[in-house]
Amino acid sequence: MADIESSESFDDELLSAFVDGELDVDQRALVEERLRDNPRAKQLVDELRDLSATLQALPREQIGSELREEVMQQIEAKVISPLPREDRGNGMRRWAWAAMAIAATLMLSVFLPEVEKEERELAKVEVGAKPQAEGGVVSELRVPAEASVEESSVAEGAELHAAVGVDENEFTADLDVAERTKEEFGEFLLIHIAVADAETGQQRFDDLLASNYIDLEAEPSDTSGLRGKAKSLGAVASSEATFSSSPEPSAQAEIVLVEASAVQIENLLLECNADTKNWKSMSFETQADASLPVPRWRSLERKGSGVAKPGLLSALESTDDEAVARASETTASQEKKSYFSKNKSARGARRETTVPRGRATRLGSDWNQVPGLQKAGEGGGGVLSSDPAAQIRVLFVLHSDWAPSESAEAFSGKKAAASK
Amino acid sequence: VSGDVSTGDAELVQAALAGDRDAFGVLVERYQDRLFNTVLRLLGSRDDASDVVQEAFVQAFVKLESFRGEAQFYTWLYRIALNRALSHRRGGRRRSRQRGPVVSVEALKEVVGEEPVDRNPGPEALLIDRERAEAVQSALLKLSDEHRQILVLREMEGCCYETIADILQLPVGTVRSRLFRARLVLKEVLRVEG
Repeated sequence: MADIESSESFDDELLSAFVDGELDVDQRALVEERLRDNPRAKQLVDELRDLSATLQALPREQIGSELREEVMQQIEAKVISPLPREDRGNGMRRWAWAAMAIAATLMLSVFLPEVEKEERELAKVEVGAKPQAEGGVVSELRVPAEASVEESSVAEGAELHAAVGVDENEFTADLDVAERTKEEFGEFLLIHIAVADAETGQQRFDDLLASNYIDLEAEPSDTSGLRGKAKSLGAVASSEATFSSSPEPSAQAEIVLVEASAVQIENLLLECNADTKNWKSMSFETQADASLPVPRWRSLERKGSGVAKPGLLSALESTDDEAVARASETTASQEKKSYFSKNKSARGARRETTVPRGRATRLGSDWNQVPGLQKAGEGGGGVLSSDPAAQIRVLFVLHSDWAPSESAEAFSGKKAAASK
Repeated sequence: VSGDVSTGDAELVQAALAGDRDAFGVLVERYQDRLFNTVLRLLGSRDDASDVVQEAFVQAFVKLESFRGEAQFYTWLYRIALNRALSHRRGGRRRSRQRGPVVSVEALKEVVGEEPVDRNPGPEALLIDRERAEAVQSALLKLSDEHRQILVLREMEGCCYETIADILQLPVGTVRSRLFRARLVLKEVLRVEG
C-alpha cells in the first residue's frame, strides 16, 4: 500500500495535517479540492484516519495510587540527603568552581581583539551562581561577556576583578589556584556549543542533563573553603569591561562541567547533534581524533557557519607553571594586569579562527587525555560496552548571541583600525 | 495552595519552589496518568514506564528552579519524561543483552489485559481487541524514537502541532512533516505484519 501518489504540486503532508485539523482555510480548501479529484488522496486520508483511530483506541491505564507517595519520598530523601545516589556516580561538581572561573576568564580573554600591546583592556567577568536551597546545587557559571570594542573603553589601568556571584561580593585572588585546578580536576574534554537562544538554550541543556541522569551535585559543606578558592580566583580573572568585538554587546557563554559516563555523554551529544533548532553547532576542541574518548563522537560534530572557537585550551595553556609562577611572584596588581593584557593581545589574533589542532600538543600532557578513555577503549567491543561506567569530564561551553560572521567582520575591522 | 484541583500549574510550581512539597504532589497527581500512558506507549512496558514517570517527576522537582514559566509546566515535564524515556530505551537495549527483550509478551499482555480507565474517552476511543492492541504496540516499538514519540504525543496525548513543537523543541513545519512520515511508516509496518 505504499502507493502514495506525489503529484508535482501537491504535498501529501497536507493530507496528514488535514486529518489532524491543522490546516488554515486556504490549505483546507486545497485539500478538499484534491480529495474530490483524486481517489488516491481520498484513500490515503481514509487510511490515515483509521490509523489515528487505532492508536487512539489503545487502552489507557492508571499508574497506581502509590506514585505520588513514592515520588514525594524520593524528593524528601533528596532534600534531606542531597548527595547523588550511590548507584549513579556522576554529577556536576560544585568544586569545579575554581577551575571554571579560571577557564572562563582565560577563555574570555581569548575573545579579545588584537589591540596595541600597551593598551589595557577591561573585562568584567561575572561568575554567577544561583545558590539553591534544596535538591542540589547547580554548579555552573554564567559568564556574561559584555563586549564592545570601543577604543575609548580600552582604558589604561584596567581593574581586574571578578564577581563570584553567590552574593555579589568581589574577591581578590591568587594564581596558584590554576595549578591546583589542574592537579585536582585533571583533564576534561572541551565541547563548544552554539545555542540559538541563550535562555532556551540553557534551559534545554539543563533538561538534557536532567534527562540523562546527570544530577546536580550538592555544594560541599565546606563552603568557606570553596569560597576561598573562588576568592583567590578573582584577581586572576578580572578585567573590567567590555571586550568582545561583536557589535552586539551581549555575547554570553555558559560553562558547565559535566562528569558522567561515556554513555550519558554520548546521549547528550546525540541530542545536540540532532536538534538543529536549539544547537546551531557543536564542535570539539581537541588536538586530534585520537584524543576523543569515543572516536565515533567525531561524527556527531556539527560545524556551524563559522562559529568561533574561542580556544579555551589554548587559553589554559597560558596557565603553565611558568606563567603562574611569574604572575604569582608579582605582588603589584599592575603587574598582574599587564600579564593578562599581554595574554589577550597575543591571542586575540586567533580569535576568529578555529584553534589549530597542532596547538594542543603544546599543552601539558595531562591536558591531552581524558580520564577513563584509554582504559575504556581497551575492550575490543568499544568504549561503551567495555566500560559504560567510565566517568568522563566534559566542559561544555554554551555560546549564545554569537554571530560569528558579524563578529569576525567587526573583529577584522577593529584589527584594521588598531593597526593604523 | 495545596490540594485545590483548580489551582493553576504555575501557582503550584511557585508554591513548590517556596517549600510547599504538597503543591508539587498535586502536580504529580494531575499529570501522572497522562504521562504514564504516553511513556507506556513509548516503552511498551508497565514497569519501565512507571520507573520513568517516577524519575521524571523527581527530576522535575530537582530542576524546578530552572523551569522559567515561559512554557506550560506540562510541556516542560513532558520534555523531561520523553528524554528520560529515550535514555531508558537506549539503556534498555544494552541491558537487554543480558535480560532478554525489553518488551516481553507478558508486559504486552499486561498492558492490554486491563480495562480501560480513561475517564474521558474520546468519541472514537473504542477499545480495540487485545490481539490488535498488541500488534499496534509492537509496530510502534519498531519505529524510530522520533517517529514513535511524535505519534504518541499526537494520538495518545492529543497534542496539537504547536504543543508538540514546544515539547520536542521543533519548528511546527517539522512536526507536520515528521508526523506524516511517521504515519506512513507505521501504516507500512502494520500492513507487513498484518
